[in-house]
Amino acid sequence: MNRAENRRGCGRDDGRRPPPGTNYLFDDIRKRNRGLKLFNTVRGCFRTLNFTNIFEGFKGYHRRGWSTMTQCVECGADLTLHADLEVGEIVDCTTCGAELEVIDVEPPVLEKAPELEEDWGE
Amino acid sequence: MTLQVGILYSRIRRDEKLLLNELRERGHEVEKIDVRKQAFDIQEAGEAFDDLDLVIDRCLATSRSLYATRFCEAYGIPVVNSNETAEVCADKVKNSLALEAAGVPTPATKVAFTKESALEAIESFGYPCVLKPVVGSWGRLMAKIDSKSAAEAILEHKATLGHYEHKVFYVQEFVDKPGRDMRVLAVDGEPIAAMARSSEHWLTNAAKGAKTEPFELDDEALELVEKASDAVGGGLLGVDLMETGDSYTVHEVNHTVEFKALNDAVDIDVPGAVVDWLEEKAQSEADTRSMEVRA
Repeated sequence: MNRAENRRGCGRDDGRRPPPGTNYLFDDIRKRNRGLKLFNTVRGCFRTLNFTNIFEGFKGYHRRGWSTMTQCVECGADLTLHADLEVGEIVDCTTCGAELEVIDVEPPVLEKAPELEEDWGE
Repeated sequence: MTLQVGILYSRIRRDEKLLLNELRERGHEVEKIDVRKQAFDIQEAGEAFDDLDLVIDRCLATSRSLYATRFCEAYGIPVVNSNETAEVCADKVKNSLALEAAGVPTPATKVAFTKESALEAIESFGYPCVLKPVVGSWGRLMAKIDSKSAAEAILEHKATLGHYEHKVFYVQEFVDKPGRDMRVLAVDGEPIAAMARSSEHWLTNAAKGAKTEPFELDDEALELVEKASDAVGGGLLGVDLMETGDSYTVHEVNHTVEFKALNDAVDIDVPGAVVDWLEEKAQSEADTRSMEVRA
């Protein structure tokens, strides 16, 4: 198979010149290799890590905290959320000052918090 | 003893978060119950209430707190605080009556239902005096009345606000406190910690930005806290006192007490102490129930 045939086989026989450095002959092989590499990586991870470690990792995520990014539902600004987020908690948008209620944590979902009511308090 | 604890809430404040963290760190199972999502059945408890040893009422809205605690008791689940305590503390009139009946010094108070009788009550105290909403918190809608014209204006406004509760006029003598009052967090009358809240404003609520510092309770204050707690039915309470020269007066007892400001002000682990008490409470409730079953 010459290069022209290969180009035709790839549906690129439209007379346009491929970008410099393109070698379609090996594209399929590369794709296969990439897939295999991913498969091996995942398999390797599962072989070297046990499920206890993975579980502990997730627990650590919750405890130690990695901040999460989301967007303010009021002004659309980026919002960094702290790690130990709780459903029902209120976070303030540092850009527009809106009070936002946490509706879900994984992934974080925010809604505009209800307005203050007369009988709220302690 | 690992507990199954339900927390009634509609908003997780820092106070609730402190409690949640403490409970979880001790290995207790926590069921967060958002009261906005519940439809309380008068015949049987919903799924969220299954197998709970104890429910903690942390509702932000007083109206919800009163009904939700009532339902918990109807379902046979111990609740902190009890509906009885919530009913008394939620309403300033009931609160004052309970303190007075228990012999706890509390500011002189009169309640009137019309603008005219309210004005008479205000005039009887003289100026300044204080007009408070019967249900409310964080120092909102509190009025220090300095003159008759101010009184007339405020009464007029309250009468037209709409809600019937604003037509219950709770008039109180003005206590000339020394720029601060005290908040005591107590469990069944036993103080966990206390702080003084200072402000140049006549309102010294932490929610209004008052400065807080630890406060050492003397014997008289300790006794008053215990009596005030008993007067409203006990539980996890915030007892507010004012200094009156050589003594104190208790102006309020709060039933869904916030303690984040107190936790910041004192060296005591406040949520830890609260959870200690909750564990004891759950244990004693369990013991009582098992004795009843045996009997």
